[in-house]
Amino acid sequence: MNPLDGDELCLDVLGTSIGVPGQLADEFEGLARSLQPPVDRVTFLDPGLALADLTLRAITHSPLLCIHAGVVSSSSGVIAIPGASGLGKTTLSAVLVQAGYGYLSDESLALDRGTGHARPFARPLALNADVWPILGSDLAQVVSSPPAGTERLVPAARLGRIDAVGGPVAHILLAQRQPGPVRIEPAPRGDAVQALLSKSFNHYRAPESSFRLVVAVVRQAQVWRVSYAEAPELAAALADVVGQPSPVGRADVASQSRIAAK
Amino acid sequence: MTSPQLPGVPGAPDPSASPAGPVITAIPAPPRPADYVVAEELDDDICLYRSDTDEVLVLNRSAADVWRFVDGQLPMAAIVAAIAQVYGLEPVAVQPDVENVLADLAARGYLVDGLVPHPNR
Repeated sequence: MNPLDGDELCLDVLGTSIGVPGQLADEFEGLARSLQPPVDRVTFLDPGLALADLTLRAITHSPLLCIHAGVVSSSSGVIAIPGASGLGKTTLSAVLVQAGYGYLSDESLALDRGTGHARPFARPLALNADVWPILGSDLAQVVSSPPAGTERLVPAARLGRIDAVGGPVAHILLAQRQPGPVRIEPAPRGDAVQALLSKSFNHYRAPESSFRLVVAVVRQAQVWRVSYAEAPELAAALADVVGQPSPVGRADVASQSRIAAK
Repeated sequence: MTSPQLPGVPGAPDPSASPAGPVITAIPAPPRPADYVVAEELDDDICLYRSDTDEVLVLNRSAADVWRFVDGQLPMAAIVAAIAQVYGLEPVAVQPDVENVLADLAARGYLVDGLVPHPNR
């Protein structure tokens, strides 16, 4: 725990430093501690509100280009799944992490403006009670399901590995949920440019350089149009396309989990 | 996303669909990209970004070929001739398509009249 400002945690989030009430240490265990003084502070104590507040404040101050997306990593690199709220990014991210993919974020593809590499934002996943049956008994043994209709913050380390390094974006999935079998087809790279830029949180600060950065990132990635009905089905089908879920040599902090089962 | 395309390419607009006939806007002066447009090559395509409206437009290969000749120096006839040479066709065969692409881009605000002085020059 960072001793700055009493019990306040100082977290390194999206390349900036945000203060968080110390009572939330367990919920935010997956986020790295910052040695810098906070540039802003979360004021909520409710975990769900605090997570939303943390994300908003971090994006506001972040030097990174932040794009609304779920982000995991495989043996071939970083996989970005851009999408607005409602796509099911958090559930899909949770399922993919359970399947062995490294977790970077369920909320933001955070691109370094210099290198174009994706950087982790391993915030806890706000999972609704409906998701527990999908995630199986392993999760239920360590984190109890919240009451119906509510959600609970689950540190990613409870689900699998956190990719604390990130790297080049190798795959971009333009995903949509619809009934039927999983479909994964190559898509034009141009489609990904619009998808990423239209879901950016903060490109307005430097629109032209952000556009060039997005094109540069897309240029080196494979783009796929994906449709799926249920996240576990997509996770099962994805390995053949984007690489095996267990990369070699990536940081694995799952074993550092200090949280007791709730 | 909308993608201006030459006829013959899937998704190409059908000029004959308009009761008024082909939408061809005369561009008397050499056209040039608008000052707020940023262009980036992406495979065979070109991605255009309008910083004033935050819009992205992806030109397919054939439309991108036209765009590459838009420099504020070449008049319409020279662009038509250049495209004809690229595709190994007679100018008359490509002229309507080139005009349509340029007219479409002009209507969308990506091209302006090259004779209009650049505000920063």
